[in-house]
Amino acid sequence: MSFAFPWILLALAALPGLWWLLKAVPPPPKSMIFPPLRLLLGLKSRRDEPDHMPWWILALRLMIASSLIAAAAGPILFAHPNAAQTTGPLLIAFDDDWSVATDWQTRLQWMEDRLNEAKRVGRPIYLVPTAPPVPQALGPMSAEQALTQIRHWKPKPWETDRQGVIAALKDVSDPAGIQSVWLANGLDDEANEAFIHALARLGNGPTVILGKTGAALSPAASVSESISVEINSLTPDPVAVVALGQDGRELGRALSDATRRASVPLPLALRNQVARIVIEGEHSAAATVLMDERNRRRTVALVQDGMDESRQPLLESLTYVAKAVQPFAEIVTGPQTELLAQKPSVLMLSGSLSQDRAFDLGGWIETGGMVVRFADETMAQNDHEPLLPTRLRGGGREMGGVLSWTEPQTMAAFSAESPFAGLTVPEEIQVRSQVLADPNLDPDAKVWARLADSTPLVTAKAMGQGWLVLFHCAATPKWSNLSLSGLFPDMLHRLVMMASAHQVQGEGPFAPVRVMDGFGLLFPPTGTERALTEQSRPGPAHPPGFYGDSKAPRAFNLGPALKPLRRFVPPASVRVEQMGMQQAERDLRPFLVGLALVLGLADLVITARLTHVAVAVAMLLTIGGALAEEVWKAGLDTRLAYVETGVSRIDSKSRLGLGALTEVLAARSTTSLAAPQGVRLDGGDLAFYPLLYWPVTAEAETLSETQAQAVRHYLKRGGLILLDRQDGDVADPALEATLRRLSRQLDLPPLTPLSSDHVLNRSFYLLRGLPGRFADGKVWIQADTADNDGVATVILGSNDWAGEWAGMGVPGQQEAAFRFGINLCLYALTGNYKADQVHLPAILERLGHQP
Amino acid sequence: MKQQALVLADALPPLLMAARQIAGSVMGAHGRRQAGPGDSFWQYRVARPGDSLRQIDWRQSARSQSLQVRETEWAAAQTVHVWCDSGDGMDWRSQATLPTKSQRALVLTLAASLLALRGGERVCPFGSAPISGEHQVERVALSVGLRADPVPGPTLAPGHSVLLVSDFLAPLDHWESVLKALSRRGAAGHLLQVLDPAEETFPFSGRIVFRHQGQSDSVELGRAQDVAASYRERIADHCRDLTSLAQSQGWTCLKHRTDHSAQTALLALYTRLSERAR
Repeated sequence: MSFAFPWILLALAALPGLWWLLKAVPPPPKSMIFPPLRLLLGLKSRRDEPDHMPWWILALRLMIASSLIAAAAGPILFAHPNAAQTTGPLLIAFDDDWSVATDWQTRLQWMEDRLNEAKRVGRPIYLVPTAPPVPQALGPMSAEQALTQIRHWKPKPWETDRQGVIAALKDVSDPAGIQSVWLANGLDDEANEAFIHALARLGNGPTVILGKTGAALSPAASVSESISVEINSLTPDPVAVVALGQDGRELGRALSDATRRASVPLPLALRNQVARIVIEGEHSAAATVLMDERNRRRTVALVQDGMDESRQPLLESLTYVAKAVQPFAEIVTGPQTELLAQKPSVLMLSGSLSQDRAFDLGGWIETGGMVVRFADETMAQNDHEPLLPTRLRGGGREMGGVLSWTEPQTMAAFSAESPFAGLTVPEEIQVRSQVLADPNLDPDAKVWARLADSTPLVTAKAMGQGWLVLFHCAATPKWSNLSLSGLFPDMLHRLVMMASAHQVQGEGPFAPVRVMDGFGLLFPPTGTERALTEQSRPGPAHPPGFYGDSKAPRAFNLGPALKPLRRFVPPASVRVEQMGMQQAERDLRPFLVGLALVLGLADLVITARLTHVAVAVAMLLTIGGALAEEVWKAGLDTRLAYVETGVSRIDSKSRLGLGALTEVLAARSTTSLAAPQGVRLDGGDLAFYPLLYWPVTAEAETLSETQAQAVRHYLKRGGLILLDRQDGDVADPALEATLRRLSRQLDLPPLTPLSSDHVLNRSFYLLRGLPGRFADGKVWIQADTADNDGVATVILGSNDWAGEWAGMGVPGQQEAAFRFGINLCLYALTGNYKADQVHLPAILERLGHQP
Repeated sequence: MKQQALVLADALPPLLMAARQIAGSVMGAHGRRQAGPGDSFWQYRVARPGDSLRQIDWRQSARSQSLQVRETEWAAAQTVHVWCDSGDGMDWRSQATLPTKSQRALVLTLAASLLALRGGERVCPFGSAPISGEHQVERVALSVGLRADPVPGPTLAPGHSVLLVSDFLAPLDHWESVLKALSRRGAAGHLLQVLDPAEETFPFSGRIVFRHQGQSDSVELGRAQDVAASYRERIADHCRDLTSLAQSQGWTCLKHRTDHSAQTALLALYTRLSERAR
């Protein structure tokens, strides 16, 4: 505890004087009107009441005096000794790179605390963010300016630039000497030493403050049944890695192992839907791996020549291939020239090729394409077949036929070098016919599959950046039952996976499509980004995100660009503090003044027999108002609110979502709301919030009666609640039971599906659907709104709007979701005012009919 | 003065209401118990010579052999002179929950007047003309406190009743002269002493300065509880002296405390008044 103005405490010495004074002046006698006064004349009491004050009133008054004196001296609890005494300039160097995003609130709070301390003594402030771009002017500025500046700061989705900051620090100097504090990210950097020197040069310091450091994630080479990522972190502690779908749904999760690697096992169908992989509990650009077309959607082109229509579907040469590929890839069919223009991942064709087509395909393979060919009779007949991994012996080979004495061959197990390694070969596979590779194998050719007698069944050859693969038997059951077996799709899948790893989508540079902020959320580019080339490193010009073609963008991740993280050990010469150890300063003044007020009130009531209830009530209200600061704060600004479910994932989603909505709302309309507030339903007054976003989960606990009462009051007084099931209307009995219970408890009015001409669809934008992360969930709204002047109080949906607003969902739907959000807010704020807009056509028509 | 009157008049309707309410609780107006001019039926008698035709009750006569005359009870009006003290000491109460003495005094005066008027008698506030008829009770209310002292006026005739309502805290000499002046005119009646409970019990303690409106001197007591016993003695003496003074003049004296029910006081008063009237 320390005091801002300690000399005022000298006034405490005058307390004995006050004590003497109070004792010397007796309280005045009570005065009383008494009509039979005549009868009292001449009566005398035996002795007088003691004319000094009772000791406890004396003590009370001395306490009032001393608490007022103490309050005037400005007492501060947990004051930081150096902060209170120094008045020279303060420099706060602050790492705002990706690694602090998870710890951001704590760090921001720490800075605010320091700046508030500095504000009290009027210290000039230098603010030095260390991630590029380095600001033009580092200071000096007043603490208020610094406070407003840091409130707009966000962590950057790239690394710090120590050298740049050291250069900028060269211009900073102050004759008084600058005390410097470095809020470090805790990562080792060869420039750290130099940075400390640059700070030490300024005067006093630096003190290094260490906090939590985030971890990074980078994609690793994947095995087909799972997605692997490598974790780059300071500690080997296992972390949970979550694979999220396009709509933000969790598709799979895994714990990292001792090698700091995590493999999320996923079925083939789900694998393609993974949009991003994140470290659970971390919200940073580096802890997010975006998946793009290269990892995901693969197009398999099946070459089909023009005259195929007359053929029967089951006998069609590539029918079985199409069926096998369908689960994990998109299929396009058509003539070869068209298909090549669509830039598929893999091109599959059956039969013989003309020289021209072979030439085209060869060129395409060189640039990274993959061609899978299946043999057929035409190929066996053609002695000069172009574009093969290895030469063929003419005529082919038949086994187990009428004219042959050999048995149909089974397949041998795959060798370790083969991409099919690990797949088990069913015994029932029989190959009756094949085209035979020339025994003198082309040295470049690789054999990926063999028959039991070790004749090649699948051969391949790397050409340029691509691959040419040949199945030595037909893709139909005519030559073998391979195409009917379960092995066939697996083999094709392996091939397609391989192909995508080599594929190049267009040529750089790539224009930014959506870029990530420090928290790992995606936003449209702001205009400061540059086009991406192969050499680009993440930085202000190239933030991580999606670049290139907006339909099939390529992901640019921060994680792979980072070096292995190592912990920063500050040199022994600098002072090191751990963040969070220091408790924030607390100003005791309001508490002491409040105490004096309460005591004074008690004194008045006791001594003067204060009967003016109004005065007492007014004083009590003053005190109560000072105490209920939270309520007071809530009432100062209009803000959106969400119900805190206690599940941190949902709560942070709600917060981020409503925050994004508030920003968009401010940009597009005149509504300017304060930052959204999380509301714990604890029976407190909700009346300050125009809109309450309520994510309902199946696990939600039953509300207590006081909680339910508060919500019912809120609804009755015209509040608006948006209940969000966040599941896209999946039938979930547990959730429905929760909703039913909630509805009973809260006395929810009957709901009806939202009609297309409802005010909610008209209040700002004209909307057709109300998509969130899900687009098709039904939206329900209060049916009878006569009680509330035609304004509904309950809206129920399942589209997970907060998730979409927060940028965790389908990119294309975010705009539509924002539009719904804006409509909703305006509906909440203006009530039925906008209902007139719905009737506008009718009104205009009526006006037109007037003479 | 006018201001004061207006203030008083504003308070009248509720007081009247209270008076009516209390008066309503006392059963039965009294009659003369003999035939004479009046409203209520008294008896039938056989018509005598000299009775006018108008007096004959033809319906009753048709039932009997002779002509019957319907006689009503004689309700001759007696005059009650009323006075309600409106002095300084009256407008006081010791607790906010009690009515002031003057309020209670006025309510009781009006209630008694109302009863008298209902009984067909005339009520004459001191310093005003006699009033008759129940609906005229407002006029009683307006003029009952006109005089500071009940000085007998020209309307006071022998045999008239007098009702004086006050706290009678002024020195007894004063009251003696008042009563004697009234008795000399042949009037007799009742004193109704209205007192605040605190005036009788003296529940004060601690250091208190006692004052009284209109009196410059004050009494400061160091410990008020010390004098309570002797004060109680004094006030009891005063009341006893007042009663004996009244009795010596042929008057009766009733004591009423504002924390007691007004009905009880009114009933007692009513009984006295009707005894007197008989």
